[in-house]
Amino acid sequence: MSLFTHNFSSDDCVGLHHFGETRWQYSTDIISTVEFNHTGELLATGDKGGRVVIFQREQESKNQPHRRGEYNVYSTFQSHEPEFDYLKSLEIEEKINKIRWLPQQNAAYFLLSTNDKTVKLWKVSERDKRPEGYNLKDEDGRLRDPSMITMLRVPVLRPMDLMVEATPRRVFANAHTYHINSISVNSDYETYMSADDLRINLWNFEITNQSFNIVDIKPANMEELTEVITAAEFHPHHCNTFVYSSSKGTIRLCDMRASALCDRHSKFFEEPEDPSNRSFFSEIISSISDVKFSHSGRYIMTRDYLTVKVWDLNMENRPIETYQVHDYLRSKLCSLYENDCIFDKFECVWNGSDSVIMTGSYNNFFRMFDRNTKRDVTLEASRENSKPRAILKPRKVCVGGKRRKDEISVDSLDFSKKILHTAWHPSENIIAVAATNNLYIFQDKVN
Amino acid sequence: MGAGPAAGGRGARSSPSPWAGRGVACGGEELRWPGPGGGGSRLLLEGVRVPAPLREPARPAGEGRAACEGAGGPLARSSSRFMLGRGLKRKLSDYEENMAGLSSAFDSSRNLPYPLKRQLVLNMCLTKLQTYKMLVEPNLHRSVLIANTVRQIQEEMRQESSQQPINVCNGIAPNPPSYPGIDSSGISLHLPSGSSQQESNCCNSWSAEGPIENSLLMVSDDDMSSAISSILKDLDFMEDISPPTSLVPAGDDEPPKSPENTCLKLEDDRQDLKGAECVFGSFEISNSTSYLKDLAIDDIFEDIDTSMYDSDFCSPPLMAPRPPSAATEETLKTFPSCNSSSTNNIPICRTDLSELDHIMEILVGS
Repeated sequence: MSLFTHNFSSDDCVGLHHFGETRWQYSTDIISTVEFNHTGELLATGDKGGRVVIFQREQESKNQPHRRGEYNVYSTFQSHEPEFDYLKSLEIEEKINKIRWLPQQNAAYFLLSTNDKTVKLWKVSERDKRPEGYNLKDEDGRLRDPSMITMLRVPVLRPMDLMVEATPRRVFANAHTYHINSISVNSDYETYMSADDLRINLWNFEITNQSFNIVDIKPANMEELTEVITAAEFHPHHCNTFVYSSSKGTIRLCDMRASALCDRHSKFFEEPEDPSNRSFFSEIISSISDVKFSHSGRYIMTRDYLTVKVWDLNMENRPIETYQVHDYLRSKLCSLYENDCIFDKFECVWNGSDSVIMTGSYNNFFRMFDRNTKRDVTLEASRENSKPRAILKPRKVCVGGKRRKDEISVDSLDFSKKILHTAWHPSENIIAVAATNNLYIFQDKVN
Repeated sequence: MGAGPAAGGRGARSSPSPWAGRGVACGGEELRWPGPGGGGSRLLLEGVRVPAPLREPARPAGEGRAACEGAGGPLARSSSRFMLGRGLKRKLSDYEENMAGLSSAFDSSRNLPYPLKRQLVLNMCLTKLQTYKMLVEPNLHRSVLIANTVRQIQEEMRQESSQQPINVCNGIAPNPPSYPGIDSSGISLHLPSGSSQQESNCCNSWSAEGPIENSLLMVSDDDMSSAISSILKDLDFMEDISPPTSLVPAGDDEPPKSPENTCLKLEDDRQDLKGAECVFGSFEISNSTSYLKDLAIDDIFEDIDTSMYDSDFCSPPLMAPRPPSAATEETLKTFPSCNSSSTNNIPICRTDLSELDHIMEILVGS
């Protein structure tokens, strides 16, 4: 299904077809991660306060057709608490850096959530029945006198109000000296990896007191440190393959079959620098903030400060596609460096069919690129501009010169409103966009 | 499958409106709904960007703070959009205003000479590194990126100077600085002990270009290298004092690393810790020195001849992280006097004299 059905012109507002909106005012805390599960039925968000909120999609019902597919709160729990490292006199933030779902294998849902130091496996399960008719105790739980029991009965399960409970099943702690930036579940569903600035560890879900170190880029002498790991992900199908990105704009693909310590990569993806774009900030803006495999496993997508790039796994010397997210910022790099915005870590996502990619920008804008038609669109996640069920209007940033109406100039952009985290439903055109403390869910409503 | 039963069986929920957003979680827990003042005020607490104290609270500038920082209106202004009361501008410190002005000048002007731009960027980098150094837990990613940028600029300058000999200025220009913020932070990072050297040749040749150039501090290569090294070393020791994670492999044919994540200490790590403790030790010493200095050491050693101490105090390096305003003020006051020109005499530090006077007054009780 293609997203765009019209050519864009400044007068034409029907650029993005039928993307309507459900807006959620989320909470007092800033959302730090958003992730759909493998079926898209559940949407998990983590925030700066260490909480996880899970939304569940409404079942379609004939009675209320307009409510098809809306997401409502399913469960909320406190995943991580702030900790104090007494040895180093450091506070460990409870902010949830990443959430990753495990594929569903039974009635319960499992997810991994991590802060800077500790990964936790949570089980989210429902209880909608409870047993009644015990022999040895009565309904209040008080024990019965056995001598008073004259007959035996089998307890039966009776329906009760639905209760969703989240319990921590595993805690994987004390394995990371530096801050965890990524976790990724392996396709074997038995292992997962966690990556910090300098090391990547491989875990088995059942074992919490051990992990294998599979990548270690810490130099013997820290003064020689010039590169850190910024993101890592397992291949969606090959359980021996993973990639990790670096602050120098390179991606390494590693094969765990080659050796126990994957310090030597199997493939090394790097694009030669464009000399015409060289500046003092070239290295900083080349730092990759996110890396994602396509669903097919054939491509990887990387996000650096100004662009999104798609790489073919078979071609290491340059990406096959490069998309400019907000190139108008190239002339503002010094100011963005001064106010630290240049270090913002934007994420990027594929749609279910790998035909469209999406990433966030400033001023609550987010961008979508259609890889087939080469069209792109800028949308805004803000409650001022959207009414419920309204169709999103494409936005445009004007770079110098005459500003048309509805366009916004670069200097008017609000750099405190940044969209770092987005998610795309695995099979449908439903997207979740986190704008500071607001969560927006947009659906493509055809028909 | 475990999907919830149909609409009837849902847990405690408030009225489902089309917005569906005013959420109440199952089980009766209500998501707090920020009113116009509620959630906004919480964001305000996060968003107000105080002029960076030299010792920040433990949290590094993470997403939360960054989300509320940054330019609201024109990029040049670094004031946060979320201000106290609508329309009230938070008062920027001089330093921040100057930095913002400089960086926007960098971006907008094509006429700035390249060496000046480079110097601007270098100063910004060093300032940031110094700020990070003051943090209890600096961000490793950012520190590495900034350090690389500094190295790159350094390398460029080195190549240039090897092609054409240029006197590298090692001090501050005699002209009154236009940007006191930059000066103080640039100075207090690392200065060679020879900073009282003559720099008139070099800086005079710059004077034609205006007050900006004259007031920019030019730091020598060695100082930058040592600055970067010390920052990275500090990062190392701070991170490494933790339960050991894994063995360092000798080669590929070793068995896979399977470290205990309990508190089992291994030989390597014991040595690591010892090494780290040494660095840690020096860090602690420098810390306590700053507190001593805080206590107006002149009080304690009043009857001792402090002229030796005075000269040491005035000559850099001021490496110790010091509490905020005292350090800035003192460096501001002392350096103009220390770096004054062509003297081989021990410079007289004005602050110490005034402090002594003050102390005498207290003692005498006048």
